[in-house]
Amino acid sequence: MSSQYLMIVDGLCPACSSLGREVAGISQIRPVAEQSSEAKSLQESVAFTAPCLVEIDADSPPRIFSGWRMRLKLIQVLGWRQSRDWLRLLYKELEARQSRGGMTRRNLLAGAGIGVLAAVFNVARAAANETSPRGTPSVTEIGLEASQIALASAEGQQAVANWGPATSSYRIVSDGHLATALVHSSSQVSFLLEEEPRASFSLGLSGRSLEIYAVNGALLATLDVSRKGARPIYPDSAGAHPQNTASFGVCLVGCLGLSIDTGCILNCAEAALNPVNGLACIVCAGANGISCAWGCRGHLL
Amino acid sequence: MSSLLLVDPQLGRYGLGALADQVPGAIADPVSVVHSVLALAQAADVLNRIQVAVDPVPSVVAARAIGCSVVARLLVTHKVDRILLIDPGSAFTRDVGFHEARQIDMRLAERLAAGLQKEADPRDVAIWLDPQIGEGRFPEAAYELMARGLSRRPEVREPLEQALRATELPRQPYDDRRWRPGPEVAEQLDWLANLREAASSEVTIWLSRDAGGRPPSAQRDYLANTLSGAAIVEQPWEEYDFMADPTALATAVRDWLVS
Repeated sequence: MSSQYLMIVDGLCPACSSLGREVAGISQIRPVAEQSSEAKSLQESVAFTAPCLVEIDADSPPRIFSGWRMRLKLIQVLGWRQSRDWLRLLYKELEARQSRGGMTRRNLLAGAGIGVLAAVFNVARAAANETSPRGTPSVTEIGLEASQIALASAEGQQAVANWGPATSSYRIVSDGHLATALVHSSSQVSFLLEEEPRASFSLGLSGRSLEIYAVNGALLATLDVSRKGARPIYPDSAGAHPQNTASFGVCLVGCLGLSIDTGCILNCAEAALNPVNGLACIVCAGANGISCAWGCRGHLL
Repeated sequence: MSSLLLVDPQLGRYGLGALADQVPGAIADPVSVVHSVLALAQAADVLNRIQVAVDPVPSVVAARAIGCSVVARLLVTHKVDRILLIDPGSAFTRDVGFHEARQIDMRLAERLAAGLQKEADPRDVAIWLDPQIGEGRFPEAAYELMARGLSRRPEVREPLEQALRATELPRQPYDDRRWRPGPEVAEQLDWLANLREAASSEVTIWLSRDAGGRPPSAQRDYLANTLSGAAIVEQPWEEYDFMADPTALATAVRDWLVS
């Protein structure tokens, strides 16, 4: 039996309601107000805070996705073509957080991206000397010496090669998950490495636009932000399609709920193109590798 | 006394271990019996067994596929002196450059740009979506499908299918949640990182053609540049050709031993 998805929104928050209206046009996801009796009934079995995505499956307890994990799940549920709406949803979430957390568009677009990090990760900034328990959302400057794992990672090295030396770094706690952000001030780009599921991408600022890059530097999309709202602009998809494998990888990681490396993503891309090539995907991604690869296949086509 | 250990955690004596009959002094390391389909879990199982074994490991070791991760670790920890790696997997190193080289060899970008040449056979798709897989077992038809994906030659597919059935069935039901290696294991078993650290001249890597007959030229060039002391050899055969007739591979291993 396939899963059902509910988007829990805060009906008292106008911006969150607009998020709810946004998903109302998507057939696979049903928006439910947090204050509704349906949401309250659900809260008796599982705790959550709006906005979040609830996956309901007859064979297992409801699963809650919020923050970055919600976005990964949305990509998985919607498929890449539809999930071009994902960026619109992301922006709606930013708007929702701005209205809730007092963030302004000015600080969203300010500096080298830390305002964006805070908004995207649904958190408030913490002072450099504050420590954050894992459950408390925060963005804390930690210094490059404390970011050696991210800097030494293959993704981090590629980010430095793409965007120049990291000049500052931040620890992000969101939705119980940890991420490290490296800010490359020479190029006004921030690289993010989330630990579990391992995922990475970069955010850049260009004028009033927010640019989203895959780890290999390929531009996935640009959010053109103005007073009228956000307009996503997509690069020409002709050519070598590195962005396709990147978005396929994000979808695959979201589906598996596991950290896998680039080589495994390529193996599973092979399997998605032709299921005969399945074994190499299974031995690195696990028994569910092919079904997830098949579900994410739309990203490659 | 044995002088060469043949390590193939996935296929054991059905895989590289089959060469033991044709290479004097060689012994086949047993297949991993851990209840996991994950190659990394199998490698961790075999590495642990070798490390705690009472008998010393031969100082010269040849390995295939995920076995390469095991012996690269043995080299960097000074348990062995000389190693031969046959077709180390790109999924088991985090080296970005090697992934890019493999992507070039796979012609993945060109194939994506060209679009699908033909739609997948729905019968093949159905095999991978079989509910048995969720219960940790491959459906019977999966072995033929896997063999078909690993070689285009019918004479190779038949023994390969038998080998996969013989080695995978005892590992089932898979429990990948229980046996999933943590990130520290993936790091410990990153074969390319270990080879960089070992910086040994006693490393030989053979790269075969893939199942589509595509040569591993970019991977060869990348490894030759990144591992200056190692001998990197592009072989003329396809990865699983030895399953039909191991003579060419066995001859090459014998020559390597005396080189």
